[in-house]
Amino acid sequence: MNPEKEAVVVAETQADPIVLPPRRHVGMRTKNRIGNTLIYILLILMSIVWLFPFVCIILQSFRIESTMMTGYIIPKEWGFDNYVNLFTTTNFPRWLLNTLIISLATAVLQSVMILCMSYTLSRLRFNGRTFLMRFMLVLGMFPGMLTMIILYRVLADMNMTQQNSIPGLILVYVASSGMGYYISKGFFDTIPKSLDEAARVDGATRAQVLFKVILPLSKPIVIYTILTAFMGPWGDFVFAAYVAFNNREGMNVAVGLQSMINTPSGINANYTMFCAGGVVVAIPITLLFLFLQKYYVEGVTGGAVKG
Amino acid sequence: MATVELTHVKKVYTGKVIAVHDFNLFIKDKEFVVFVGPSGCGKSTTLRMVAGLEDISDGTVKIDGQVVNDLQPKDRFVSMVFQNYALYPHLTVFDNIAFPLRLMKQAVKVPLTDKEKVKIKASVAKLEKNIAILTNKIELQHVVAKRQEALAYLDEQKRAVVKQLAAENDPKAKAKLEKKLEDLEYDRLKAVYPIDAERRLKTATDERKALAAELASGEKAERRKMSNDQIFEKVTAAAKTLGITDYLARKPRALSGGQRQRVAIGRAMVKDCKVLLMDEPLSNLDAKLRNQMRAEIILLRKKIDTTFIYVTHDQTEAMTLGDRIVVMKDGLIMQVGTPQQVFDYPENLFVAEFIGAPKMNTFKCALTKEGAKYFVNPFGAKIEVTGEKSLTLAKRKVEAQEIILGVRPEHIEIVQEAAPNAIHTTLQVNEMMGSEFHLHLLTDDGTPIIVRTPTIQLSDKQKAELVYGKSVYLTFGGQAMHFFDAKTAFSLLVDQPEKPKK
Repeated sequence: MNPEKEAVVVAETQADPIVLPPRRHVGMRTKNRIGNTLIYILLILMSIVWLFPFVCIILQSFRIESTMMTGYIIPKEWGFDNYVNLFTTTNFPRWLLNTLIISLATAVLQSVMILCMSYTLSRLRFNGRTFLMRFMLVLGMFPGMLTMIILYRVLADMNMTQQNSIPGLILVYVASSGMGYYISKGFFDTIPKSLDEAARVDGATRAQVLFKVILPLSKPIVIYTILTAFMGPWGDFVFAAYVAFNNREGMNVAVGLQSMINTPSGINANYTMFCAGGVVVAIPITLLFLFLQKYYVEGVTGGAVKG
Repeated sequence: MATVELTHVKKVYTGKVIAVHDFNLFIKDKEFVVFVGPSGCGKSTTLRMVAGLEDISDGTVKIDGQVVNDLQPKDRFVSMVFQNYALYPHLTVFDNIAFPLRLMKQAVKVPLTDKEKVKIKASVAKLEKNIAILTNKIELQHVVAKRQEALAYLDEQKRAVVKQLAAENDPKAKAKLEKKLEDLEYDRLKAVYPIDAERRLKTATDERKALAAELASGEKAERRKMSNDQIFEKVTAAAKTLGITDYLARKPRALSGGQRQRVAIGRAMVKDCKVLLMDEPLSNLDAKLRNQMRAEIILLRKKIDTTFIYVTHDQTEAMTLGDRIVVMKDGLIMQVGTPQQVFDYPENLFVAEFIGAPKMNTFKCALTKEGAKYFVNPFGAKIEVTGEKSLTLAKRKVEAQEIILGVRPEHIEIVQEAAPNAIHTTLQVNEMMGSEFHLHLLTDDGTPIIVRTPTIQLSDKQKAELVYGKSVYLTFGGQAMHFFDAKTAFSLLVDQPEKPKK
């Protein structure tokens, strides 16, 4: 029976005579193909929109015929001059080092704090635990920028601004990092408590339980925590700019790069170099994500199982 | 290898819910004790208090004579097998079993260096000085006559206050006097035990002795981690005992339930623990595997040779495994005894019904006395109490009274026709168990009775007749009965141990 006739028969046998229009039969495969094509076209368009600025920056960073902004994208002459100049004629290496120190220190300290905090809140029962959790949740709702002015004063009094901005910034980033316990606590809650108990009976202290049993089982969340802790300071601009306060020794990359082009003459002289700096800054983060994205996604979704 | 002693142990959750009331038990060295009871009776909580996973609200737990209330689980030298195995998913079977060994530190003798010898000599000299001072002090305190005098004085004062207290009516003044009495009591204690100096002298002497011994032998004891070779040896030995040698390289998720449970047991037995705790270790296994593992635990027990505490809700496990059974209900111990004692002489109705499957039949009836003979009258039948049971009743001078009569399903016999000692019932359900029938019957007044009858004695015709609606006459021997007080539900056959107040 061909499909058109079938449709009519179905309509006739029904008590309530709804007359179905004879349908054009479209095969499953063709349907899929059309759908996929549409979706891919949309995705490609979105990718172009998203990738355009990046491609522009990369292309500009290789342009050597002039240093100012131009009306075209594809360079006329290609070369690595901008990169070489960036590392030889500017403070960029210093800024990169500053940022690296700050980011690494923050990643380590903040991860340790967050993970210990999460374990504590997930496993230990003590007076005021729920109050503490709620209190931190509410505190976390206030934007950190609110504290900027007073923090600057405090840091200035401790002589941790301008050229000494590295310890100052680490302190600011690490302080209150325990409040980011939420996702990892959710993840720890999904690990059966009897594992803790078994380990404790087997002779482990609480710390050993955390480091030998819980953390190896929480690889995604550990990597997620370290990644986020590393990325925050790596790309931070506002706070770093404020603490460095125009001191060229105390800047991180974001602030440093911005300082190269914050005057009209600066733009003309340094624009292509600025683009090269942007590319250099993006490389480590891109690499990290390429290798760890699997864990990152698992971390985000795994933590959400039980909030 | 140690004794476990629980005295007045109590567990209260968040100030209100009482999970365990006044638990008292002494577990002998190398004994296998089973805690059994319905879920929520506090058996697991008690076990976890021994393990140190739950705080002890009140009372003391002693392991090997040492109070462990405030010790961390790791310092109690116990092992535990959990119901859900609790294997570490990220470690292989080998590493799972080796986990406690890697954390453990062993006492090892290490020769002393010259520098250390000098140091020890110096501290010995210092200790000797201290000891001299302390001895002097204690001698002063021990001027015996003076102490006696002080005690007599305090006692006199106390008596006076007690007298006053009895005469006093005003509550305020009374409270004041009570406070005074308390203070006097404290002073008296201080006079009796001049403790502090004595204790310090003892520690100092002990320390000097230990240091002197170290000097004499030229070696000191040091705690070190176990070497990898030792760990390998121990783990493979344990794996061999449990038959899991082939799976040592696998991760737990690649194992079946029975194999996982073996690994869990291996992890518990590999370290030399004082007490091995098992929290429903077989509950997650299927019926067949459970029987097999039960037999293996019995065998294993001979090999491990330590003190066991085993928690289960399954009375069969309790009966087959335990040297002694502790039957619990609602946080109270109902009975402690060997499986035979608990089965033959249940102390109360709860134990009688809980132990044995299917559960004991119970019905209200009257116990009457005619001369020296005792009779019961369930459902109009008249059955004489005979044998030991009758003697025990007579010995305990039990009078005629309303009772709850208990008879186990396997002790009820089917008789062919009506008789003065037979009960008329109607068959409801016949469960065919293979070697026996479980007959569910109803008496004429609608009381359910379960009977276990072996099929071997019945002819094929008789078997075929046992269907719904068939009329069946039942009787039971005068030996097989259990008698419980209708009000208290305590057995009339055994002396009740002192029950704690709720």
